[in-house]
Amino acid sequence: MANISVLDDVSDAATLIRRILERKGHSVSTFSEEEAFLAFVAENPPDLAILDIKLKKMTGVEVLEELRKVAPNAKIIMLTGYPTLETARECMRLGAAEYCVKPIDKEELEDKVSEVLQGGLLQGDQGA
Amino acid sequence: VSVKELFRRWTYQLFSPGVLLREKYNAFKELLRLDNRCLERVAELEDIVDGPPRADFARVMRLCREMSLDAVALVEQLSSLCPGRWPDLADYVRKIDFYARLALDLPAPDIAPPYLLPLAEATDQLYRAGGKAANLAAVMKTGAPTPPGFVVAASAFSYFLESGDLRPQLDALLAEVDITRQDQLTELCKTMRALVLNAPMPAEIAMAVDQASLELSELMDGAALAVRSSAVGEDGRLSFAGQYLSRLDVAPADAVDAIRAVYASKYEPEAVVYRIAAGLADQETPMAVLVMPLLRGAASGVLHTQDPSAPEQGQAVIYAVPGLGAALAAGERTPETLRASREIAAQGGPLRMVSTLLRAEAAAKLLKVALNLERLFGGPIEMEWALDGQGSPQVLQARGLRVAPPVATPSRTAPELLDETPLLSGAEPAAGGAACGVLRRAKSAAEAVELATRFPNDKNEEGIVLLTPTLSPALARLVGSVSAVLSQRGSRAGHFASVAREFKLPVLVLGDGNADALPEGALVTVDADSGAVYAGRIQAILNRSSQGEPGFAPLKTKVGKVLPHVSRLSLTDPDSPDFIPAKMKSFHDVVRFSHEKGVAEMFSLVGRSGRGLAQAKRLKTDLPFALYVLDLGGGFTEMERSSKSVTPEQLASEPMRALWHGLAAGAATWANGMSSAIPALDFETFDQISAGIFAHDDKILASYGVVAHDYAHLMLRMGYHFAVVDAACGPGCALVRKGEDDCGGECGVAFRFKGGGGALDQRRLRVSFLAGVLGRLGFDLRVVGDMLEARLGHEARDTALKTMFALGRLMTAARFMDVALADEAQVEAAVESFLAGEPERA
Repeated sequence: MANISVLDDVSDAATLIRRILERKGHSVSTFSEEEAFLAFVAENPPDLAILDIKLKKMTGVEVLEELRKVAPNAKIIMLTGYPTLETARECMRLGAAEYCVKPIDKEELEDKVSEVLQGGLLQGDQGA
Repeated sequence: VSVKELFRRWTYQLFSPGVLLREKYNAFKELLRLDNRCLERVAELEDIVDGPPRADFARVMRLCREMSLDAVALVEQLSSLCPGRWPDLADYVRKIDFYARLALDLPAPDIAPPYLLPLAEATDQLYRAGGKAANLAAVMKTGAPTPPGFVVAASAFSYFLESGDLRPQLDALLAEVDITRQDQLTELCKTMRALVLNAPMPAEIAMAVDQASLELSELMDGAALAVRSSAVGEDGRLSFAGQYLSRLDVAPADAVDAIRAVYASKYEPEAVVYRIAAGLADQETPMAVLVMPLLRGAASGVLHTQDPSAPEQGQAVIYAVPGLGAALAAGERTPETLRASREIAAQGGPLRMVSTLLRAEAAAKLLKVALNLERLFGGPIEMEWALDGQGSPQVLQARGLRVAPPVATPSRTAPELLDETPLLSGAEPAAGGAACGVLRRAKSAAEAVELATRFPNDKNEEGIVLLTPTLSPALARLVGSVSAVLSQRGSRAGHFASVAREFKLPVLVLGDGNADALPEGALVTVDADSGAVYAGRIQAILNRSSQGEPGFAPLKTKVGKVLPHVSRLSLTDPDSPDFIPAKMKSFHDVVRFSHEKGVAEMFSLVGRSGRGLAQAKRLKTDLPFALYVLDLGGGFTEMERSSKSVTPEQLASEPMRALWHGLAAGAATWANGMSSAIPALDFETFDQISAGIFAHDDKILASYGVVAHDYAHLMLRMGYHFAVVDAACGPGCALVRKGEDDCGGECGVAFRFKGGGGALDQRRLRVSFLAGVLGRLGFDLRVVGDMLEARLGHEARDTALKTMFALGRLMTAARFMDVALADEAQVEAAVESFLAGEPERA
């Protein structure tokens, strides 16, 4: 099973994701602070990172960019309640595998995580 | 829901139930209207994905946008019916909307400078320089003789559109295009070209073009220029042969205008049809332009390094015409044709060919250059060439040549053709395949377009076999509208022939005078593999011909990605705990959810309070059929108000009674196994198959009707889709505007049927059956995908009632059509059998 790191400024939201994914046998670390998250993944590159876009200091897109530098092999799912086509394009360009919109239910989260871990196709697959 | 609104609701319920009911009923009616519209759009979108190409990507975008607006409005109506019930409903609709938009998102167009680049730098710059220029640059790099030139980049075109704010206007027009509707296509294209021609060229592009044109002309001793299209996507996988304009003999000072004219040619009908048929969005094919000096040699033409009509013979073919090659490409002229063995030509050996246009050395050099270029393109090529002022050949354009795999052509004595004498044989196949249709002559491309407008290539009728004097590239717009083309002049080398080969449209060149034997208006079969035309339909030839799809369908891929968010239905079972907003995945789910909950609310509301209106009552019958009926006035005879059911005899609503008798008669017929076309069924099987309409005894899962004395609106559940019947017969009916006692032929019946269970093919066959019967009953029909809409208006009351009876029978019959129908032939038999079995109404 996979190592998954979750960053969401609302720690309850991150905890909820952890519960769902731990039940699937994954080992999950949750963070609500950008610095703590980036420091952790630099030392412990995850198989998969799940990033909220609206954060406290940085944007999820900036964290995505940093994450690609320190853990280039990590797969990434973006998760946001405020989707825009611009951020979606930007995230795909920067290598995110999925761009998911909240509210997200258990089943959708499980499906997306398993698809991405199996190297499923990019959802956007922009004009490739 | 605000406290205020809840309060208002309670107040109304206590003191003024009538007002609340009316409001609810209005919300419900609006919900039904939106539901109807959304389903139509879902069906249209499915049609765009499944059917032959007809609509532009802009239409898909617009459909999705409209569906999104409707879905939002739909949940608003539902929320006003059931305030506060699903607080997260709107969030999920927004989420689906976003996924749909993301799936259709095309990369933003590149509008960045530089806007000009030298031809020599265009190698590998497919997306900036377009296919034609990139190919020619690669040719230049191999050392093959090519004229110099420069490229106005695709980003210049996108910038031109952007600065004139043309994109939204073009998209609005493109969204209206149906490539099989020729008259409308002509008008839309004219408007689009006018938009482009009237837009200003941004100064930074215009200045750069002026300067570069002048320099190029000076370099070539003051030569005039050739301004040629080089669209992205052109000359790559797709030829776009001849779809776009080339302007020859342009003075350097007129280059900007010529470029704008080339831009506008992107919106010529034939170019738009080609692009749509190839499945590309307008934004994906921005137009680069190649500017070169005009060569004024004695001859020009086309060269195929492999004869596409006989690849096994190992021959290269040169097509040559005097002067500029435009007449050749335009298919107006039958060129001088020179054949040479590839082997001998490659060794530079002596060629046995006699030409009045090409000297032997020039022909040999041309062949050598072309054969060398095969390495660059990885196979046989098609090359446009011209002689320069010194008589030396130059390459103007080159691309890979499509050589169809050889078709096993039966000899004339093949058993299936022994009895058939062709009307005509020995014609030159310009594009292979076979097709059948009604022969129609046109004197020009314009007349051909007019013909196609008058005789649309309806799938229910025989298509058109078009007979024209020349193979004009303008015929490309008829790719979706005619079955085959016969021409007196022209050749495989023309642009239209290339396009026809790509889209598997059979084309024959007959030669002058040979067309006289062909009977106007008669059904003929064209065998474009062997070069013959036969009278009538010859199935053996049609079966033999390779009728495969063209080898590309990227629109389906693009639009296919959006289907999970638009048309795929996940909410199928209203009984399931998953029938909740969080499980909605598509607009179709939103429609399904809203309809289900709206109908349930409407009835439970009336059922609960019962104030103001009579309660909904269950129709009492021996048939396993759960139908609840709500009376709006005069729909039932006098009865106990508290009664929970109504017998068919107590129905006073005339259209409802008629429909009911039809349903009962239909059910009796099949229960007794009377109909030969439809298998006999016992009621147990009947229950299993009917999957809802007749089985469930649950109020929520039953069928519903709203009736008045002269009116009936029924939602009959069929699996997880619905048939909706709306009928008005008499003075009280919605269609009556005069308000007189005698309805004066203003009665009407509307019927809608969508989907149901089964594979798409099965559903289509069922719709085909329904359409067959309804058409014979006089309905106006519209079939989109697997949705059928039928209307019968302005009828006398008697006719309307008889029609309701027939509809009742028909719906019972339709329940079994999925299992009973295997192909179109059976559909016809079932229609006949149904109509023959029409008993007089008791």
